[in-house]
Amino acid sequence: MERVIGIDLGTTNSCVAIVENGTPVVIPNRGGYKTTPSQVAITEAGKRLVGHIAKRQAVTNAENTVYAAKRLIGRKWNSPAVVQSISNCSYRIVEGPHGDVRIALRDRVYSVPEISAMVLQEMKTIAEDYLGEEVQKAVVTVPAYFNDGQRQATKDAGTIAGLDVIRIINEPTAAALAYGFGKKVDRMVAVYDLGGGTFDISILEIGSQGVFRVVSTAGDTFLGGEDFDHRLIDWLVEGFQKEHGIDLKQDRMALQRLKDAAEKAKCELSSVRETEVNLPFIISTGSNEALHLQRTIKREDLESLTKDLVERTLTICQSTLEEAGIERDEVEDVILVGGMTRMPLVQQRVAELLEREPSKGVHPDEVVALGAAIQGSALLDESQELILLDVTPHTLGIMIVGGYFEELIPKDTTVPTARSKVFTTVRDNQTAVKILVLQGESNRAEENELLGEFVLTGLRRAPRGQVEIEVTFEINADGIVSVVAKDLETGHQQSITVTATSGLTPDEIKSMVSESKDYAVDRRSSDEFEGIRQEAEKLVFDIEKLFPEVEQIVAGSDFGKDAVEKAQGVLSRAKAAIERRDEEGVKEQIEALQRTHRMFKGVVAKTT
Amino acid sequence: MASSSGSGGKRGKRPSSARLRTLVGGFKAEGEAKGRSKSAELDMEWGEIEHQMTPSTPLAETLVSLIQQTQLVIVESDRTDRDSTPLRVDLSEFGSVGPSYAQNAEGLATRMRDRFDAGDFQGAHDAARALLEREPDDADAKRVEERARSVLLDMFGACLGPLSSVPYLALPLGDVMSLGLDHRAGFVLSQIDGVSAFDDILDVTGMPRLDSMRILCDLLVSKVIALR
Repeated sequence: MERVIGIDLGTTNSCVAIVENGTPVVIPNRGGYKTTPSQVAITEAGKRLVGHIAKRQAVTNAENTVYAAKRLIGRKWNSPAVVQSISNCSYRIVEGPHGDVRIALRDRVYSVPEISAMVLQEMKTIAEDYLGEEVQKAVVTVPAYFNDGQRQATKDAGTIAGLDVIRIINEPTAAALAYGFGKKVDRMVAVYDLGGGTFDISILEIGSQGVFRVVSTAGDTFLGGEDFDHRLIDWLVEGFQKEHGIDLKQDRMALQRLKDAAEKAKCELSSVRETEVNLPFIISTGSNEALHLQRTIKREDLESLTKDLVERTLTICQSTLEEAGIERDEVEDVILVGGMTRMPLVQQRVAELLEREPSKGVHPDEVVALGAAIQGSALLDESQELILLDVTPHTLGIMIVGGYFEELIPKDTTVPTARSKVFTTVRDNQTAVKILVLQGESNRAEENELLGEFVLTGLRRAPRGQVEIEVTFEINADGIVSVVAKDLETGHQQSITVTATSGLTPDEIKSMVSESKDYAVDRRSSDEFEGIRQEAEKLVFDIEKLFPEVEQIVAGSDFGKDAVEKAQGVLSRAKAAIERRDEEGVKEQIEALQRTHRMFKGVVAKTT
Repeated sequence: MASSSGSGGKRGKRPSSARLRTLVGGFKAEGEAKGRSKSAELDMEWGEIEHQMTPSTPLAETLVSLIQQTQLVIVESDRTDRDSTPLRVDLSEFGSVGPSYAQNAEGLATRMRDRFDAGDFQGAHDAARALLEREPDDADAKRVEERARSVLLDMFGACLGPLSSVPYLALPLGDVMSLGLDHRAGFVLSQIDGVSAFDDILDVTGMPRLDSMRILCDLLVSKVIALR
């Protein structure tokens, strides 16, 4: 049976879900966790680490650990988010060959979709391990404000990971889908999403006929749970500095432990009023002694340290409601998404702002992936009626005389849509006009993103202002933008279809897909070998432990001497096969090792 | 982890910290000579210590060895023989001695070979690495470093058993706090969660594999951690 998984590809954590027997469920990873850190690292030995294991060494191997790649995906090299990331990130961000962004790890440069593909591949593997079968199709979520390029790059990441991304949906829409699953609801909801690295607020209309419409969306791509962690880390570091005169931030190991402990304490303070941070041997002093860090932190301490961060999210909420012309009492329910929304202060302040208690019916870490899985299931089963109406995340328009930006389709317009405006020539005898298609919110064209350009020629020679050109923007249900410029006098027209690009060429994607497939095959065979190796190593270890005793027992008997020699031979052959990573060879030796182990145990048992 | 100084040996009159400073400063100023001071006072003072150690060992080596092996730490002054607490010496004040010896390539090469011949692979490895920092192309040092590393990895591997084994903390946290661990061991210990295998822990420490394995072995042997 064909399966479609839903993946919440988060900035900080990712989650995978599936609909099983009509019920959406989140799939835990091998460690039993339902979310997996969206982090990728390359070790000194060239080994690729993804997820929790990458996160655990993120500080000690900072230059080679990528986190928050989502902030970079599909962005141009000179975009403000990239500029900000370059100054914040510990890994090296470099310019790609197509004005895109690349990441240098060890001796290789990776595209951002390649990095995201590693996370997606991990999520795919988690699902496959759980289902016991290969998974190919996926619905992947993205923030509502993602532009075409970012969506395309996410899709490319899926392709590189060996997934057929059958739909990209907005995260708040997915959350609303999971919230409305199995219910007949008809209401306006706010989705307040405070994740590990980003904050988003979206207002959605959910129709009883299964229609979901994003009315408005806004956010801050550099505000999330990690900022809360940093406040706590700073507090701990300052306290330690006062007490011992040592700056723990100067030591990577200490910082890694502080980071883990701060996150843990922050999570604990959502359910208890105080907790203890206990880090023995956090740092060594010059006098060969190690100091401990022990500190009790109260919920009130955390709240006072992070209150301004919570208020920042509320300011964004307020302006979003105002921009969308929505009164607070029109919002009928609030869905909380993201781990940070477990913080009591966040819940309290959101409830105060929107004058209602947030919905308790959804799991903040899982709701987006569950929604994606529901959408995936609906796409397979045509009997399920789900209509997702998205809005344009940015204003679309063209450049006009003076370098200004003229809006044609405002931000938050529901798609599909089409809008037209009539323009005139600006010079006498002007026979051609260049149409620059842009997206963004600035009234200066140069500050917005150029999506494409084309020239309409053959205009009648006439004094300026006499020739009229109608420009029409159209966005279809798949989000494809097309622009037509038409000479109203002659009917002559030119058009362009804006094709989203991730910054990768088809050839590059093809080569990355092939490389990724090879890695997946290698990993599978490596996983299989690991299982066999572990079994063999355990037997070798157990036999070697018994060896001295057995040797002593059988000393003096020719038969015993022969048996010990044979056992030594088995051990050597097994070790050599392990060393060579010879899977077949190790398999062959396992039986011999088992026989030897049984014999040794028998010899020892008889004499005790 | 401060341990006693001059343990097992007869302890003569201790110089005050101020005198220790003078002596060490004098020693440094004298240059590399085999550690013999021209100062009669110095000869007398250090002569006693030298006598307690190996007579043939040069003074500089004796001092470094004394500091390294007995882990003398923290300064105290005006002690008497009746003090029961161990002599503690401020390493920061002796800092000028350690490096000056360690920077001596010839001394390092000798030490490296001696340690290797004596089967002290850790000592040989450390000396080889120190030598390579100074002489990156030293073929002998490269060979010894590689061989010692390989032997140590085997030794630590044998101590840990299969790297797929999952270690767990065998002591209550309160007891752990009273152990004399350094921050590196503390860091490795913090990565032991009862779920991650040795293999995973070695990946996340960010330290050279050899160092991580040695620390894990130490923790296992001293029963701070155990295996599932």
